[in-house]
Amino acid sequence: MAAASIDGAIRNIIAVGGSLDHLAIMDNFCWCSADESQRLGELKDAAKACYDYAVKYGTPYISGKDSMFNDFKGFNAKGEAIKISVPPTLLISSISVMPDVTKAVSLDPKFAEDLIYILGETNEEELGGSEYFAMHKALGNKIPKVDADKAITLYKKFEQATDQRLISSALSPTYGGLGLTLAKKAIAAQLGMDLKLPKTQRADHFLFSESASRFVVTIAPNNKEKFEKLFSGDFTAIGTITESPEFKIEGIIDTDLKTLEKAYKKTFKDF
Amino acid sequence: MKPKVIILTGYGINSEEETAFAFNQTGSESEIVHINDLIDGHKKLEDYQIFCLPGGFSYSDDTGSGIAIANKLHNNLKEQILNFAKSDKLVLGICNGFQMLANLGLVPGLDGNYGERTIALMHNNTTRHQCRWIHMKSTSQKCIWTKDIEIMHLPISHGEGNFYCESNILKRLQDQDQIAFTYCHPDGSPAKGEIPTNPNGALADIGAICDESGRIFGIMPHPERFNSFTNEDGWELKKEALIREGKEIPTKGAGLKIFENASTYFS
Repeated sequence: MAAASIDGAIRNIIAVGGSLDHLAIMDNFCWCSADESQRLGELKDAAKACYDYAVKYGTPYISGKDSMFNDFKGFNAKGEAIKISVPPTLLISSISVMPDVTKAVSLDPKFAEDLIYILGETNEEELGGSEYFAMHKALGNKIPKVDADKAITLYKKFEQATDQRLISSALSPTYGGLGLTLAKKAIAAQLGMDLKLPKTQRADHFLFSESASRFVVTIAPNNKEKFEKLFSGDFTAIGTITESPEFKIEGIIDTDLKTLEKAYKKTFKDF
Repeated sequence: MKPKVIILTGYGINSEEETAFAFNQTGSESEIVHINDLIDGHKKLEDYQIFCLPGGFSYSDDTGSGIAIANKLHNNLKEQILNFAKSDKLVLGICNGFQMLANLGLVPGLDGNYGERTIALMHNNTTRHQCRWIHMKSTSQKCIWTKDIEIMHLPISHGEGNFYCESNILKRLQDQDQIAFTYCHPDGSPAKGEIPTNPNGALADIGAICDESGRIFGIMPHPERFNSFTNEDGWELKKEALIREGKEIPTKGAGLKIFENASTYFS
């Protein structure tokens, strides 16, 4: 969990055009029950991950904050003592400096006919603790793992691509995996998508795995050759942007932006 | 010679830096002066050609936006300000500064009667502070500040921008060409009071007015916050279109035109 938080903060910065060479992070431990051995053990592991990945990525912590007892202790309607605690959470913030602001990349796809790619590897087993499993009331047991060496290689290439203005839009998948990321991008641009998933992986797992160190990008068709050469071995081409506001994944879903946006913006259950 | 701009600061004014930047980018030379330095006589309005009341939250908007500071100006600097307003110089009030101008009676200043308050900027009828980008159409031939502007995309950030005046005053503003900007759709068609195109319920979609001479200008949106190309909401899409057309990415923001018009007035 801690490694995924750290990688998430870093790749979000890379996605908008930041650089690993000039990047700092901040930690915010939102913990609970910090007088229980299990929670303290988890805290120790998270702190260890903070050290390991900061050293690996070369990204110093410049500030941080801890709150160790996010617990409510009181009584329920029947007068019985209850305790409600947050799940232990590590929030990482990141900051980077860009020499040229016009090279910043926003998340919305820009024009119809642009090509959609996934960068990085999707491990379809990494669904432990995912939104998809939560929806099916399951927890799972394979959580996303971060391979920092591989990630750094990809992030460095990504920096080159932004510098050469090869990427028109980018968003890094987090909760809800590729499925949610693609939908968010379509909603942001108010442009449709025509998608085809690789046949080698189980579709729902591929769409909702929460594997770390990935990006969904769109590029101008003219940049195809340069882009594919730079990211050789790292990319999966999955479709094109369309003018018509339809969101289609071949053989899986055929819906429209209005439906997606309504689902995305509606309040949580019970609110 | 570059016109000299005095930009007021103090008591919760907070947009003086970017306003000075906008003036300096467009051929004027600005100086940020604390209101007390004017009151104490360390600085004099007569030494400047442009007087600017920038945006912010003076006196944290207590007792109504721009009221307390307008009283302070009125009680301490009335004569200097009226002399400045009557001479062939320029006055700009942005957002909270527009509210000050309204309360001071410098706009619309009908019949040259500066000092009489005839308009109000009431709470937005959306009941909330609005902070986003809107479109405005330039509608005055006489306003010096909006010369050669047609439609402008500008950021707003206000809780009290709901322009109001009595119908006889509105008629005079219309007849005398004193309505400088009205809220509109991106294509320039009028908002007709409809939210969100008209962001606050302003009467006749009014977002900016000037005095009878066109020299004194009050505007609710923040042109100083559109000083660079990359300030604009949606610049990333514009950038991508320019790149694909093989065109250069501009650096300056369109909001600077308003400040450029001011410096051109003195050249």
